Amino acid sequence: MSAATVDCAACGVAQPPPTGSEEMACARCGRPLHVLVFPALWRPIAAGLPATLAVSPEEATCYNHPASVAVIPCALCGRFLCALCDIEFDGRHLCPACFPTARPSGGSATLESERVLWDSIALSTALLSCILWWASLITSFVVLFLVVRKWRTPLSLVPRSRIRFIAAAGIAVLQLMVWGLVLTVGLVSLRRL
Amino acid sequence: MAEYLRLPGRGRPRGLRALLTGPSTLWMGGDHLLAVDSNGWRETYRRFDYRDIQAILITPRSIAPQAAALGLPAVAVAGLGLAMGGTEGLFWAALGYVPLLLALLVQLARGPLCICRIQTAVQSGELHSLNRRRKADKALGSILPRIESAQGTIDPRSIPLMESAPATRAAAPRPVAELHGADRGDARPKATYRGGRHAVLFGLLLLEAPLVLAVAPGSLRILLETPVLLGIALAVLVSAARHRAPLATSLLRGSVWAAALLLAAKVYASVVAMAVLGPQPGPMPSFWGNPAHPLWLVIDRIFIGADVAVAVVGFLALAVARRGLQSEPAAAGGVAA
Repeated sequence: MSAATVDCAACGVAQPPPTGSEEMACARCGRPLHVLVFPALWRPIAAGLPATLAVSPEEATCYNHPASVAVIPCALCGRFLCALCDIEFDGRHLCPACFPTARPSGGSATLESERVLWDSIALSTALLSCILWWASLITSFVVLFLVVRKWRTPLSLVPRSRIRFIAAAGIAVLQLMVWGLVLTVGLVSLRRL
Repeated sequence: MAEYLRLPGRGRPRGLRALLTGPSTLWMGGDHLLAVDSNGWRETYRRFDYRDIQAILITPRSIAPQAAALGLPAVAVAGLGLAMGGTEGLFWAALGYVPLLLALLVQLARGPLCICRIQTAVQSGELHSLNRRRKADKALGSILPRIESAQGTIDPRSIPLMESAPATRAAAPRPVAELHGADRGDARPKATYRGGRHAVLFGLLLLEAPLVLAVAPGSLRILLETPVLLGIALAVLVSAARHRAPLATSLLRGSVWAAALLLAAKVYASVVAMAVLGPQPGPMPSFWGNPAHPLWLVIDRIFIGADVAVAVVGFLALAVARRGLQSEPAAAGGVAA
């Protein structure tokens, strides 16, 4: 993306640099554009620090680049890192190897890019089994397992109640009760015969 | 967990992807904006740090495809039901027409559509949840103070200095009118929309009134009225799609809305009245009820009066809008005819 240009919201083509927030028309598709620009548009992108070559054998060197001076250790594995390998994230300095593993297990949600909504899956399964009723003898157990197993799993990053879990469990319990009633009546009828 | 505040708006991606995905929402965090896209069982997140947001762009999007997808089947179903005749036909006509028409009116009432795109130094993405202009404006009202507190405001005097810094500086901005038709191999600039579609709409409304007065209800009248009604329906849909045109003053917008409601009421009243009065005997069914019945005369007069009123007010609004267009050609030029 070139500096100080904005892309058309409809066709994505780069537009002439705006002179502040203004109304303009796309140079390609002609659509009117309401453009709001902020100082970051003109802010130069900070360049990374160059790795410094080690000058004496006494100096600590980078784990990945033995010829470069180490500037900091990785916060997770402790390996020495040069300026090139140092990834600063969430106030910590990580090496490229630890950076991907830090995403799910590091306790920080800042980098999470997706989450599975187990409550929606449980509720959908429970509702689907209301239509495919013959499958509900199995799916109700699956739903109850999901509810118990995933109850403490973090749901969405944004506020979300566990009402879907409760609804799914309620439907599954009802289905099991109906199955229990049907089986009991069937067994009693068989005994009478 | 970061605390997020939900922003107005809920939408899906454009095109066929809308059928496969769930709704997207936008949330405001302490230091970033969070766009949440969902397929129902999995959420994906996109973050935009307030410090990194370079620009937010909004462009209007035509409502015509949605309106046509709902409006044309509604008119077709109503026509088919009326053509079938009998109580059963009217029942199916009403059953098909009313939900489609309600869906269409809800779509139109939710306001004009737009595309909202956010840009940072490393990514540029569409905010699917901000697909209505009203919602987008409301959400931006909450977002802008956060961005300004993170980045500060732009001093207009410093922009030329900032612009001279990037090496890949593009050409100077051109005025809106000049940009129309430019850079597309199209030497002739597009003409500014001057309300032609609106004029057709109000003309059709005026045309229908003498038709109702001159021709007795029956098969001949339906033959004459049907193209007029279909023409009004199409003109209303196209005009509704062009609400964001500079011509759309509040009076003009109100006239188009009145025309839409009038047309809907007319077709619906015909269906209901036909169901109450019953079809007429004969080789060809009388689609518009019993001409001798006093109720029909009253309905006819009401509709004629409404037709003429909407048409006259619409033409007046059009004249006012065009006068404004002539006095401010640079500001009003926007939508091509």
